[in-house]
Amino acid sequence: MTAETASTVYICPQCGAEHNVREGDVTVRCRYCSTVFRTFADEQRYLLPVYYDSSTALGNFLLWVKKQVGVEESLPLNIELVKVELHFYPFWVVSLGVRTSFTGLGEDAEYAGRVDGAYREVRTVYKRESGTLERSFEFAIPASPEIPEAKKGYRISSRGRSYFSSDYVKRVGGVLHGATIDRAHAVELAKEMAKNEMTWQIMREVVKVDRRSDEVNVGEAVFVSVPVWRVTYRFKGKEYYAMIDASSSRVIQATYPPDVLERAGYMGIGIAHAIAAVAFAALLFGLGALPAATAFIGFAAAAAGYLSRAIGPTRAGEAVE
Amino acid sequence: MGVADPSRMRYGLVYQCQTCGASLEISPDAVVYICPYCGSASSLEGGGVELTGLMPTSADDVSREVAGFLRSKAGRDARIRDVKVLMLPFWAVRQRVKTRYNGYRREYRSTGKDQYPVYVPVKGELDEEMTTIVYARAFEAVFGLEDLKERVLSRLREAGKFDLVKAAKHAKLIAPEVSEQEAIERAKTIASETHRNKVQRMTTKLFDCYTESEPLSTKLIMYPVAVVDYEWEGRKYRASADASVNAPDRVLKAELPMRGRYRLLVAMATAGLVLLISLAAVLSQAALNAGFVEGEGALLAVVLPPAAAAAVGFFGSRRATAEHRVWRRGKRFQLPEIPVEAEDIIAKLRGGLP
Repeated sequence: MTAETASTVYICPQCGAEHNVREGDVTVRCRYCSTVFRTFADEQRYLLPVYYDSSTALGNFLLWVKKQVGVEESLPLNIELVKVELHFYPFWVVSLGVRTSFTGLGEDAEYAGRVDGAYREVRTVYKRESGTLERSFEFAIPASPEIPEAKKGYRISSRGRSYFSSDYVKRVGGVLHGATIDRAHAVELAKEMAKNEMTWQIMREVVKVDRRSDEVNVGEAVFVSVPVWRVTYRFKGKEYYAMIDASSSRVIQATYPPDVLERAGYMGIGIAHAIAAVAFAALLFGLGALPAATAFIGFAAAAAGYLSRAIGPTRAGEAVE
Repeated sequence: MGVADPSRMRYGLVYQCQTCGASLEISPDAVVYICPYCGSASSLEGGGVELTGLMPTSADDVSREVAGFLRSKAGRDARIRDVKVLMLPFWAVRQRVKTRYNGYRREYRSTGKDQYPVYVPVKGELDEEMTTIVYARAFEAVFGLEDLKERVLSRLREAGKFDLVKAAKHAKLIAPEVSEQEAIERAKTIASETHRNKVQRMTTKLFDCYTESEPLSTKLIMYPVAVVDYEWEGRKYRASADASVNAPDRVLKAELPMRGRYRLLVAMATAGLVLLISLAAVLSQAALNAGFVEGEGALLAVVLPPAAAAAVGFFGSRRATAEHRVWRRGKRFQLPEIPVEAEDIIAKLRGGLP
């Protein structure tokens, strides 16, 4: 096996420089910015398979983007591909169970003035309360600081993860991203997120917590590389980008050229509604301030809705459900 | 840039079926393996697993019925691009759920001209047996999942032993990744939230709501589902359908295109509704001027009409300009449809269609 075939391309999470990393190397120092990143070759790693090649993913993207409000209609006919790359982004997927016992101050009520099965007065009183809550969680935590914002908190969608194989990554022409967050750090982050969620659950029961203990049982923390098609395209001289999940072809996030005419149309409708707000308010003022204010606020809100379409960012992502 | 055919690559766990010896490749997350050759199912920890489910119908049958649905809702321009028939795993967890709650409900009583608030203590216990459907895949999001779960729950009694080998000819079998124990934990959380929502609807202020659950039984069900991608005027939309034989109806949830006349209908309905609320505010104004409402009632009479008009105006305008609308089976309120045939007739009269 030559040095070339025994190496995989990794991208430095700090500066984006490419490195040919040998099979089995665990830690890499970037020769450009000196950042130390990890491959986690010493861990059991997984990846999500690439079920959609670039042509199919791009085809789906073009069909999806045409649906977006205010997109330039001729985009599919005049699109110029600048770059299409397959990137594997690292995530730690942590599952854990939390059992939280708490003691605190809860609310109750004292009633007075009985009348027909009810009371005229109620007074909130406080009482000591204790309880136990149990929940299970699963978090996908980005293992690299340069994971695009859209990917954070993204629900990983797949027909099941597979064992990691650098041969597979090379065969599909992908590049891996180095990770700077290790398992211990990822587990701590997951524990923090789980405890915050439990805090929210506890505060539904009590107004003040005096004592609290959390038993956290970490189920598993696995390192998963998620494939994403990163596309840069040009339309009428301007560059735009798209990030497409290569295992499901779902568009994670994309920017697209606006249809100036359509947006001008929404702007016009919005302005018309703003004028209608003033006109109806004036018309109804004779019947009272309340109907006039209602008409003004209602039509102004509609105008805001149309104007938000006219001037909104040309950036969107495909909803999971 | 292409990819190797995933079906020819070894990137999962290779397992030998203990019944027929066939070599199976399964996801590292799988907790149960299903052999499409002999129809047996076993837990990876050892021991057989009883699978129940419904038989799938063929992809062609599903395509035909979904195409008919799309033609009626989106017009003849709707074209199906892809139909995948999958046997998806669900856990049906039956549990005894007990919730203690404490709060109060505010009501208004009147003595002729005066209205005054009273407080009714709401304290008690909900005690019932309920069945919760838990999707048995760990990392997956499926379009229309909540609607699918409702369908699985409604046809639970029909799920029974079925011919897995025959089913594998029509549908791809998707192995469960969530264990029975994990499903029970998830079902407990769902039951707790369901009861909390029920109790919150009964109260104005809720002080305590504690739930305890005891699992009674679990059942693993394989349900046939069709995941559909279709195209309309160069745009992509999704739908999910019940792919079982004898399904009462097919399509459960669909993204539908926003046709021009539909957008106009929504925009006009929004403006009309805002005007209607404004005219109703005339009555509120009259009641306030005459002193019929006081205190909290007066506050409501002043705040409610503008708040309602603002909500209708904003969300109505966003709906009129949305990229698609979502249709769901059994949803109680959906805006009236302009019949596609009527649009075709109008287009023909204008010489637009052959």
